[in-house]
Amino acid sequence: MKLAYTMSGGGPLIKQYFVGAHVTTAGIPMLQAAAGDYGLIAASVSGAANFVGVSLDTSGSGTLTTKGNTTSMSEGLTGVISVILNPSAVYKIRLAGSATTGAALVQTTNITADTNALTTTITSGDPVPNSPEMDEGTIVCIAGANVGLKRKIDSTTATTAVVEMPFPYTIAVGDIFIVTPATMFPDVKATVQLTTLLDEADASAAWSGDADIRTIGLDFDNSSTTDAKNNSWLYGVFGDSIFTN
Amino acid sequence: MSVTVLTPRQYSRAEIAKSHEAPGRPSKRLAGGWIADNVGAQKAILLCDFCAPKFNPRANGYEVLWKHLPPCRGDCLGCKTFTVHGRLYIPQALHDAVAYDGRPRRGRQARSYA
Repeated sequence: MKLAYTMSGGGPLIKQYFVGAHVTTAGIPMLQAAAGDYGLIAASVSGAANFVGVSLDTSGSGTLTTKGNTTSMSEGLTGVISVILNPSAVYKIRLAGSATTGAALVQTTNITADTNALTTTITSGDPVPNSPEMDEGTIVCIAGANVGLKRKIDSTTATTAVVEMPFPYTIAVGDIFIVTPATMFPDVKATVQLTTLLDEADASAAWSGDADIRTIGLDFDNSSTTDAKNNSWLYGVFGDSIFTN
Repeated sequence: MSVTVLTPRQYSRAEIAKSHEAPGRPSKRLAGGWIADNVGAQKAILLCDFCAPKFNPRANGYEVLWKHLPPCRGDCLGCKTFTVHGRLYIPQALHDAVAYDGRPRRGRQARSYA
């Protein structure tokens, strides 16, 4: 994940910390270790409590000692990681279509026209809207009359996703949508499930009780359906920073 | 007779995190050698506006990060002073992981941002 901007408008505050366990991926959330343990640790796919900041590099691969090895200067950098500390930092997090980093989002093709422009009916084989549950998430049109428009999902069934506010144009047969658990209204859902490498958001899973990341915005690239599935982002701020609670 | 009561201090989470900070450049190391070690370890490098002109990022396979943001703040890797006009350099290999590429401007319906 990448730093987009800070809500305070200030510059990034950078510090170097020791890690409690090696970190091999840059751009992932780092947390304070549990009581009695030392250093920072990487977050998990469903947890970001005691958030410190997002890493900018990796910690190396040598043997970790309690306070880092300072007898040799090259080894002295083993176990050291640079972190962005701003608690109000907004991060740009790519939406992935699975737990694998880089996976494309999966599209949903509408099979039943709706002149009320409220209901999207999936084609057989498309992701099921209620399993995992996408209620309170976001549906965006990437092909059709409503291209580029997104709505909050009000209810779901095994074959339909119904939006809260209708689209301006009829939802026609063949219109293509992307359904994500990301919400534009973080008062309802303030969690994000991360990919296995912790650097992207897993939009194929139901987000409930996961990492405390509050959505500030969603950015979908509607230049083409391929771009929409591969180049869509969530802007979020971590909610459980050790510097604010 | 007075009684002295000792109670364990309650450390805040921020204070505990501060105890995990890396000490930075050892006092007996020259700045150039220390930064060279950081380059070898592919670490992010923060330099103040006095030390930055002495570092050639391109020659070391590094690039400047966050040109769109105000200057970085933190301890300069070279002189160890806290700077509010710092410049952060990252290895080019980490560009895709941490560099912000912005939102390219395209047609009217090309991007939808909520």
